[in-house]
Amino acid sequence: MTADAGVGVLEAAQHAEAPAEEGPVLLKGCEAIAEAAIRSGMDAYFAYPITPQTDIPEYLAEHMPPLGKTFTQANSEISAINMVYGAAGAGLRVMTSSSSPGISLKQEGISYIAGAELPCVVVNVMRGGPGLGTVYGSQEDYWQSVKGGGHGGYRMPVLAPATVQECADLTMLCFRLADLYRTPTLLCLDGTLGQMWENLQFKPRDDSGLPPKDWATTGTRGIRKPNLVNSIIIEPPELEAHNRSLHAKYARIVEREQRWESVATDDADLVIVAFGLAGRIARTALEALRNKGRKVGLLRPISLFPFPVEGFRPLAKRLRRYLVVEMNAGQMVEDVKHTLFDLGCLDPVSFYGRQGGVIPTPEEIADVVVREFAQGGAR
Amino acid sequence: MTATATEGVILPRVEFDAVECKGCGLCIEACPEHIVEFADMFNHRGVRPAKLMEDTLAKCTACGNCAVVCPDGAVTVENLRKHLRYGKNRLRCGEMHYCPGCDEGTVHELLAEVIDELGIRDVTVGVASVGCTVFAYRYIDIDWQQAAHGRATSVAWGIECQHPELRVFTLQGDGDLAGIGIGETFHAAARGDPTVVVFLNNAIYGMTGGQLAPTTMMGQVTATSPEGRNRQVHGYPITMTEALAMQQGCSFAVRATVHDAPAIRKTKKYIRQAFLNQEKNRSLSVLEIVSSCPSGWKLEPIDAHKYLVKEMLSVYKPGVIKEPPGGMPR
Repeated sequence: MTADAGVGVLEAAQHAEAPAEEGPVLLKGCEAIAEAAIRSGMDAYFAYPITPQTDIPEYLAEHMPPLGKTFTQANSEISAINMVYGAAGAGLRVMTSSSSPGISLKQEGISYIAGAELPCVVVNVMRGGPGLGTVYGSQEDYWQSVKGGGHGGYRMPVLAPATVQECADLTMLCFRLADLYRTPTLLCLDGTLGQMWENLQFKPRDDSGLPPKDWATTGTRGIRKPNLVNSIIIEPPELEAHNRSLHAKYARIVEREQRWESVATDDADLVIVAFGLAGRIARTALEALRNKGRKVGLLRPISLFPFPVEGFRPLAKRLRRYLVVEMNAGQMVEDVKHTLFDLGCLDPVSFYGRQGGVIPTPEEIADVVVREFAQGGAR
Repeated sequence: MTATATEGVILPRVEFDAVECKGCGLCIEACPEHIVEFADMFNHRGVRPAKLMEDTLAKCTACGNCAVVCPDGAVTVENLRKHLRYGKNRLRCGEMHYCPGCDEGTVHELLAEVIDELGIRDVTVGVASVGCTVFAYRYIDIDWQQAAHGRATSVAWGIECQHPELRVFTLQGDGDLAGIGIGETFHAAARGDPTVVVFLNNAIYGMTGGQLAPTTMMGQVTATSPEGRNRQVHGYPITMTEALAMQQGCSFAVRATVHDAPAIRKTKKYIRQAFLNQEKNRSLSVLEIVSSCPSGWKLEPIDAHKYLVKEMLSVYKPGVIKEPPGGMPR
């Protein structure tokens, strides 16, 4: 229906997309993540049960040991992320997964992993918070995900799927980006998508251009100087130099790894900005609105860090309204405002959100859009 | 400082490194012939380094005790008659940051010696945990990972889970192992990870300046128990090694000390046995080393060892707590 729908990927991030390996399979989001991790060559997986991500460890408990790979149910999320640290430091492809409260527990470890520059994948199947909150899906961990949930001012690539297909594709991409940049990566989805069944096709693994892990602690084997995996740098000038190098890396990630989906934005007077499941629901709303002649577009950030500034650049060239829809009280909306401001665009930005595990309906979003049109005078 | 054969008698070669010496005096206490003393001059650290008394080399029996007890590897003794050498191992590197007379230095010396003598340097990975041992990677020339506070055994499992050929050991203090990391430690024992856990118990948080630890003894004065540990405020100390030995996945548990030369020699044997058990039984080996913390305890190094023997060893009794199936490894 929308002529200019497409996924935006910066040229630097493009690599040849091979055709799918086999026919479609029916899996739920969590299982698609688990299977994609196996197909990414994951050597070890460590986690602790928590709803609504527990399908991931259950799937991997069944499928990892027969492959000779490690599945360990740790005694806590803290223990699991530190097993990830050790295994990543020993050169393994490694992942952990959890849901919001468990991800909070992992933050110290993620900070150490970022400091020591170890590649690994962390999956957050988000649920409503704060505190124990609810087991129902939510997007309330946006800030924690993209601003560095742990201490020390690090950043990490954060990818947000909106379909089960993307759950698989972006898991594989998380492994690739982790190795490419020696960084933890975060796959961030809400609990509903994790439990959603859909057809998907697995794509082949892409390891092209990945650097060797010659820094890993695999024993010196008599051929090299000892390796050290470490995040303590006690002398301030040395730590400053290390941090400058980390942030130069983050700048490269910002430059190369922005991803987003644009739907019908070219002629849109109002652009909905929404990620993950909220973006998917907004797209359904968009189709209904377009059928009624409303010039509505959608910009769905796929990479939450780096925030897809380049997706906004062409939009900022003329006056529009923006409506940010999130399943939280308004978190990404700050980055949208910031981005538009940086692009010299002072267009009005409104927000609509549902919280605590409540999922907005397409009709609800369409009503908000119609109200926005009425207020803003847009056609 | 160096002397060799004179007048047809093969004398030992004894060398005291005046630069590395931190002036703890443990070698003076350890010498059975009483021929070691402090020099009249100060070194760059501002301490009087130990030295052999003038014209006493003929009295030296080359027992090596002075070299064995030196936490910093600053003494070398060569028994030229028996071709024995005591002193810093070739895998020991860097100048240790530990305070004068700290037992942790001695344990580094022993670990380096055992790893070298077993010929496993190329496949050994150490895990240095937060606490005074956090810089251990600077002192033994092997692969290392530095772990977050309390998480060393989890990191160790991550390293070894897909690398059965690796020999992974952790170096952990009492706050790390028995305080913040007690869950990780217990579950490593429950899983039966093939890790050698070297547990340095000095009953205090050393690096942060001597606060109450899980292993602080009843009545012991620390920075956060100024009136001494008492049950109402602080509860009781934890005897971790006995508790770990009760877990099926722990096949070898022993408690040792390094307060004098005989104890150090025995502890070296235990470390060797722990690494042999790691290879043989592929399950957890725990080696608790009751250690002194002269700075944290506010005692001179020699007095700290006296305190250790008098006060600690009745609570933390040395000896083999759990023998591996099939007997002690050789």
